Amino acid sequence: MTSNRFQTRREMLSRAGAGFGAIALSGLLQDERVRAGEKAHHTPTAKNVIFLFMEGGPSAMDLFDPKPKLRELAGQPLPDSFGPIITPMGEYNAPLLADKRKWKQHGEAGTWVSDWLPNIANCVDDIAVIRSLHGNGLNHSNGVCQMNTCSIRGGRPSLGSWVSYGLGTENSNLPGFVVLEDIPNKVFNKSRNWSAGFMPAVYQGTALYNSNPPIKNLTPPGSLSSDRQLEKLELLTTVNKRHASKLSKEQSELEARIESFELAYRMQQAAPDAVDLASETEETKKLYGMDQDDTKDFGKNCLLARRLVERGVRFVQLYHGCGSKWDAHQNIESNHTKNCKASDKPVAGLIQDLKRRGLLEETLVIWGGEFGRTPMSEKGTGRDHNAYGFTMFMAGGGVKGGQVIGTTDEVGLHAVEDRMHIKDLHTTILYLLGIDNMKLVYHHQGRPERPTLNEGSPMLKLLG
Amino acid sequence: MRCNLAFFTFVFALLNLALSNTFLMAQAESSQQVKFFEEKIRPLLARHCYECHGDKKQKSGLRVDSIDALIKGGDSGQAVVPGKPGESLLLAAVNYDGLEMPPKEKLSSEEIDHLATWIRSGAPWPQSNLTPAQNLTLRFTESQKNFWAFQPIQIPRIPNSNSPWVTNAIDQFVLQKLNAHDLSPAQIANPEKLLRRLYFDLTGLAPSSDTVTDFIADPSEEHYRSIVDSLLASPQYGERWARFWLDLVRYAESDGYNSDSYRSGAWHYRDYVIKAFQNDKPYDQFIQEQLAGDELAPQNLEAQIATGYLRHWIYEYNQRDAKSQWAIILNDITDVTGDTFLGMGMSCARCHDHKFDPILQEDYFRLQAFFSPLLPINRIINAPAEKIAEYQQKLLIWEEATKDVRQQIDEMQASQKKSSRHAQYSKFPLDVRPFLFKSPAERSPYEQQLAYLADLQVDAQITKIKWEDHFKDDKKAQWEELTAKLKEFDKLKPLALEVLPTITDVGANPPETFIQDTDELVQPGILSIIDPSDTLIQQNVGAPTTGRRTALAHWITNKKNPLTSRVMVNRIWQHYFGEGIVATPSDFGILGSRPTHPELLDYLASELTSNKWSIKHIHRLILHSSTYRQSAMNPMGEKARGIDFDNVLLWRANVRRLDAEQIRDSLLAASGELDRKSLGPPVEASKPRRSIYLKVIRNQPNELLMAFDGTDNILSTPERMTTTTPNQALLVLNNDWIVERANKLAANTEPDDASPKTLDAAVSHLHLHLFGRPVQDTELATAHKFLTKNTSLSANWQDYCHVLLCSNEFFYLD
Repeated sequence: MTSNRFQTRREMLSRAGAGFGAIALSGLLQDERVRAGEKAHHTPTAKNVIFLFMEGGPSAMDLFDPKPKLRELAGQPLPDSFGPIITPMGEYNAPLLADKRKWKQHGEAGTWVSDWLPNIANCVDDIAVIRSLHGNGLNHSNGVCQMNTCSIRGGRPSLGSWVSYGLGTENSNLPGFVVLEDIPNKVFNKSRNWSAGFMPAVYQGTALYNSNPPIKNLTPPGSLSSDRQLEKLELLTTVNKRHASKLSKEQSELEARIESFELAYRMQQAAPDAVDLASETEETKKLYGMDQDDTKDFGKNCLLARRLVERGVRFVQLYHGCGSKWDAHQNIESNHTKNCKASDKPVAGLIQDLKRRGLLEETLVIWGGEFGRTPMSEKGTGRDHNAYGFTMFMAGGGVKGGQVIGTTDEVGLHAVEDRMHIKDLHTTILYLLGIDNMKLVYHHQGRPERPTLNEGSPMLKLLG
Repeated sequence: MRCNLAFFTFVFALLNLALSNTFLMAQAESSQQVKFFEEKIRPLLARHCYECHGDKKQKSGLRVDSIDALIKGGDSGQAVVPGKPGESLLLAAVNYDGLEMPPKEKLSSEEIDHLATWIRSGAPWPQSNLTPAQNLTLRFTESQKNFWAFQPIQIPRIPNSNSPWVTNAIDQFVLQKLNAHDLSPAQIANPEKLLRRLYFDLTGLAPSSDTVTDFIADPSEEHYRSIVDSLLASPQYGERWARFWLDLVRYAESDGYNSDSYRSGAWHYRDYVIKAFQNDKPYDQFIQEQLAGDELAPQNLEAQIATGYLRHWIYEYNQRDAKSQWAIILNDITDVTGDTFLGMGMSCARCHDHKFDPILQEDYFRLQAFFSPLLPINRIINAPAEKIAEYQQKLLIWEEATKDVRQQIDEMQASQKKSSRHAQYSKFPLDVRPFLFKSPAERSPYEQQLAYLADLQVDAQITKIKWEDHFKDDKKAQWEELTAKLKEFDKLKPLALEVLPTITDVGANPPETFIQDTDELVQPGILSIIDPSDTLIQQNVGAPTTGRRTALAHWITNKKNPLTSRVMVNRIWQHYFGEGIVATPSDFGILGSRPTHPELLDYLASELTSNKWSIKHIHRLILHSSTYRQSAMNPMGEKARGIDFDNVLLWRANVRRLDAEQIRDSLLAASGELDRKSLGPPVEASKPRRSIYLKVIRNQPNELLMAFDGTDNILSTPERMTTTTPNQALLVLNNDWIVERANKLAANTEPDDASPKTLDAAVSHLHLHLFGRPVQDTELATAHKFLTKNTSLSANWQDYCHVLLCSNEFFYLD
């Protein structure tokens, strides 16, 4: 008799089994992937992902996508030829707002970057700028949700969860999917953004804090000595083994739970080590901007991201500007000046540091927000949300640097050439990791669920 | 088969005669031709082609639902040349010769032969006498029509084993299957294990030490049954079983999305569900009230609260795209209704005919049409009539007294309110804006629904106006004077009565329901596989609603509906055995599991409907059975595992982890802090109330509950997962709240001294308290060793209590 209680051996291992590490380590995963049809159709070019989420929506036409026409038409309403759109704040007839940036072509490839991002500009030969993203999220909640799950509506697993489900982790002592917020508990939609949705909790993101303890509940409250803690764990093992001696044949979870305490104990050693920056040189810290007040916080998170990836964490998501700090509805000048200053150096430092350590080859770095901003002004000095056409960039993980993909229209409202929906973006990320978006399936309530809602194509131009 | 042969003979005869197509076409089709066409050709085209080449869509300009359309062809040319299969593109396409149709999977060679035969014979297309409804059913295959879940419930013959193990009919069905696999059931579990299982299953809490001692002393059948009865009558039973229903309907007390506003009054629905289980409300009535309480019992407070079922969707007030948002809300209600009551995953069919199940895209929107007229409404109803009358009377007095002041205030605010509303409306998309400026009376029903969504947003903005800053100079003085004056009457003003989220229809006149992204209208109807005709709606004269939801409720609760009762008894079974008779409780479709004990399922379903839809009747049947009372250990386990590793045949009890709420509640019960107060407004998680009473804010899920696979309350959850993670281990070891519970438990139970006798007593009391069983000697020895370490007895005892709370035995039932 067989029951379909577990859809795959992998799911059985993860539900009944001992959490993150054991799955990947068991060596069963490879077989399983082959069986589930997840074996790469192509060799993966990326092993890890660092997703730098600029929350609130940075402006493409002020950073990576210069629009001379916008300066020409500044002060006029959007010409009808650009077609009607929905803007959440509804200033439909507001005049177009010119950018006030100094633009220069950078690197050997001559990629345009504005003076707001001088350090990232130095990395452009490792970066592929994609100017043609588009999505469906009008407001932040929908947009952030879609950038994480492909759907504007909550309840689905996030990309990091799908990746953990598909590939597991390489380090049994750390979670496979880690999230760092620059301002904890402020991000739009909160922890729902890294939820595993309808998949088992083992695939959900673990929030890592820039403080002690770095993971919730990592250390006992008060001053429990480590001896006393060990004695408790020993007693617990004795009690549990006695209980499991007969029953474990009928319920494998009992052994798995015994093992989970051992894993937890190992995590207590591994996690503090991952976030301990004592061994990092001053030069490295400086590279991330940790020597300056403006950049030290995000710089630290970027450095932590590198350390996590080094330790085999599969998917690291970094939020910058939690609570929609990039959301420049008015006075974009001061807003973006501040946010660019705080993030430019840390992001560039991360790319450079990964590169010099040989990690960039296998680490895919993604930069962007949930959407971009409108060419039309809002409240005179700001810009509204624009999910119709916006810019993100990728570096490493097999992506060919020094290129610009896609275009928007003359004012930067709609994506035009090489249009890339958020579903295409996720498909591409999965593709680089060696996962076919249509073959990674999780059965839920009778539906074969896939990470990109059964749509999306990879943007192969990224590979060069 | 004989008919087919006859038809082939007929076709060959025709060919031999070399009659021309024109001649054939001109003739009335013979009855064989009609039969062949209706049996082989029309269903084939309907099933494989209509979705993309029918009335809804004409991909590549082609329709295949009439001979004229086929002869006219599409972008690639004439699809059918009557009499000439070789020249008919249709045949080339199905042969994957150039075009490849259908794209997903090639037709069988038999089907292709049928098409060729049909074209060769002149492609006769008999005028159809079929109604549109009958046309829908053409799209189902025979195997879909014969699929078990859609067959009527059969009252099965109960096997008649005379085994002493058998207590009731359930055991007969189970034993028959076990014997057929050469297996025997396990013996009845020992009293302490059975009692612990029973208590957790029915109440979500462990038995008290006294109850355990009593039952060990007298584990008789009578005693067992009297405990079952008393637990079913306890308030804790409702608090436990309501949880499963709340999971299904994604109950929460906040909006979801980002603003995630608190839903005041939503908790009355939670209490309604708890009381419904406690009072054994007949399941048909329970369904009817939730779907159509406002129509069926407009005077009944409970029935109004029950319609809160239709208010649990997530929602974002800060959303200008009102059209999409309304569509998402209706889709959500449609999905949850299909999942919860029918065990049918409808959502695949939203965009296309279901790829596996016999659910047409039309069916999705036929079901949705019952809900299309919905309009949320918050009503003051939660009070006895006399209280409402008293309130209204007092209000009238206040209104009279303040008439002038309020009028002056209104006048001062009017122009600003109007311009603010105007400015807000102007920010809505072009396809919504125009009708926002219409007067309410001019709006169509659909426009009224969108305006409802828009106004929630606009009104929120208007309430944010700071009037004291808005007015300047003289006006400001005037404003302050008026508001001060109004305040003087506050003592006359009655305390506001509570407003509850309920539902009505936008009016007696329903808005139109279209199939998504088409202009194809549909009428309310149930699954076509069961009944393809439009559902007859009986509207009461003068009623404020359409009567559609009443019609749906009546169909769902019709005893002949093959799904409703099966789905519900399966859910009850699932919660006792860890797995349903159908292992996919909200998916009785083709991708779902088949019933392991189909006769037992039908037996229970018919017991439900023939016993006034009493849920407690089903509980008793299950709890009285030996199947439920089995031990988790079976002496023939070695062999049984080889035959049925997953225990699908039920040769033992399953070892199950407690779920999130049971874990939290048990920790509070263990520390002696559990507040057993029933019902009422939600409380913060710091309060020691049962978990079902905790405030459910979607974006602030409770850390402990979520760690143990609680629900996110966004999607319908038919089944909790059980995951085992190191994060859980860290949580039980280190989390402040849990350590506090352990310390409380330690303080309540700490032995006075370290003498062996005192320690023995304390340790054995602790085992009885936490695990519901006497302590064993080996456990005493372990405890002694641990408790007499160098550290203080207090510290040791704290650690010991904490360890037992972390243990597998505390977290699992066997």
